Amino acid sequence: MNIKSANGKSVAYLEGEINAETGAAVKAEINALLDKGGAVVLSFKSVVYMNSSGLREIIDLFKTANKNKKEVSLCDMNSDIREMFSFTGLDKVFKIYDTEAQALG
Amino acid sequence: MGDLKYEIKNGILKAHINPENDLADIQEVLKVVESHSEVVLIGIDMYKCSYIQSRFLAGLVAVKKLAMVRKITIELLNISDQIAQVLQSTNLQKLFVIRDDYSSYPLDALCEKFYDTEKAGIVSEYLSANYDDDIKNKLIEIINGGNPILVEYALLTMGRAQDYDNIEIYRKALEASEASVKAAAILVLGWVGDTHSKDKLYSYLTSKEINVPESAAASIALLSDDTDSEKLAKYLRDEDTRIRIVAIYALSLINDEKAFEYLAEALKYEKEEQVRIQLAKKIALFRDKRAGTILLELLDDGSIPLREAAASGLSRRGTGEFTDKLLEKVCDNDNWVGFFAAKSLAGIEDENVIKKLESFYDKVEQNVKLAIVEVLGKCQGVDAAFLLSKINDENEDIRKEALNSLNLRHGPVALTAAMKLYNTDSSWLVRYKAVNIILEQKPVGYDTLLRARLKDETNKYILEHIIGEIGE
Repeated sequence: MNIKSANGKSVAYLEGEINAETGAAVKAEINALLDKGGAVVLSFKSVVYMNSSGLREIIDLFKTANKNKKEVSLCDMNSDIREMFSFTGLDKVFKIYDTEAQALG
Repeated sequence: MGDLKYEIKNGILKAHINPENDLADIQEVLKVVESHSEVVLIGIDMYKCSYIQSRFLAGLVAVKKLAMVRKITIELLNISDQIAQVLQSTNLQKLFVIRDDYSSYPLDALCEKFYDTEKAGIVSEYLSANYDDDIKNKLIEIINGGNPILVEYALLTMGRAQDYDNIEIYRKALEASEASVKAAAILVLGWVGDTHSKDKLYSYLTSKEINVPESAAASIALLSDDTDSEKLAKYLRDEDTRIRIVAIYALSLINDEKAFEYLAEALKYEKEEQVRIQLAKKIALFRDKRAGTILLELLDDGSIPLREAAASGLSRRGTGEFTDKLLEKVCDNDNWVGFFAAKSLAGIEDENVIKKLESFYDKVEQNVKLAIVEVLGKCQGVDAAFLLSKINDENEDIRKEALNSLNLRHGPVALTAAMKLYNTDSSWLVRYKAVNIILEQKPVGYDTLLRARLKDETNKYILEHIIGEIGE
């Protein structure tokens, strides 16, 4: 996973398929990033597939971040991934931006 | 003169205005700003004011002038509709950043905003971001109060805040008589991962109430384990179309091998077009290689919308091993097969495939030609010359699409073409597209160029578009 810093935030570029296995790896990496401080933006630009197990890992990540008063936002989702978030109502839970630039403010 | 209340924190001066404050008080703001060089942002909080005196308005303008000199941003916070109208009628609204700042509101007043459909979501977001014991207790009080509108948002706010300590409250809300409360509770139980409630959520899958089956399907998917695909599959045969579609969504979200097989099977017996379309769309979301074969076969289906869904699914997945078969189909005797086969190839980057598509152009029907031109705009590495040759085509749709595709792949070439066509093309559709490209790319002097066009342009949509962007 590529990570870049901009505007005091870290942007993590998720790739390929987000399932239980890859989601857990993403969670571990992002948690480590959050421990170092600063907000994290998860870019879904290169995410092709995602399932409910992957979603659960993202929720879990958000839960830990929330508990530690850290900010995690999401951006650049294709319409299929976005629909998963809206179907589950998780678009109400996460801050989702259309573009990376908007997420970085 | 009232007593001006203000505080300065982290370079932000926040002045709390009340109805008794007058010009002298706003002048006090000026003095505070002048004497505190650390101020970088001024917030004038008007939460307590429902109206504004003209003298006070003059004072605000004076603060704005000072803010400009000091390069300080000035925000008007929580202005009432009446004040907004005054600012608009005096054309002063452009001078200020106007926004809501919910930190000014007492908790009771904030929760009252759950009644406001436009603001309820933002307030809920604010409360969850600032969640503490006071907010939690207030939300529990609201839930115990039983007003369904307030209860719905109280539940959603607790779920947003990832409050895992009150799962019993969410479970109890499943018994509410109002669908909105039930649906909110179901969603929240999914968000907080309450697997104990999952079996109960199945009983809501066949509910006739608004949003209840949808929420149940979503939360079951979020809480799913290896057994749920099988349990959900039986709903694919429900007599109610809505339930079948909801089950398709849940299975596509679970996205395991069993789910794929149940959805693929459903495509064989499902008769209703709208359900078949959903099946095609959701099957495209599986990584399983068999999904591509199914979508390829659907390109020959009798239903045009289903073919479209299949083409879109193939294009989304990347056509991979089906590219040659799709190329063959572009020249199919049934021009709709050709049309959707061409559309499936969107995003292809192989130069040989692109060249083949271009070579088919003269052999196919108009709709397939249009699909080829459209698809080439979505292919990296397409040559500008081919698309450029189509902007003189007899068919206005093809000219318009060629211009669009050129713009997607070769912006400067598209701009040159647009600068010619916006003035000369006989079709208003093509001229409209050309104007769009000019407005998007904004070359030097574009506004003068378009303004000159206003004299000769006869189409009202183009005139309105140009005037809307650059003024008369």
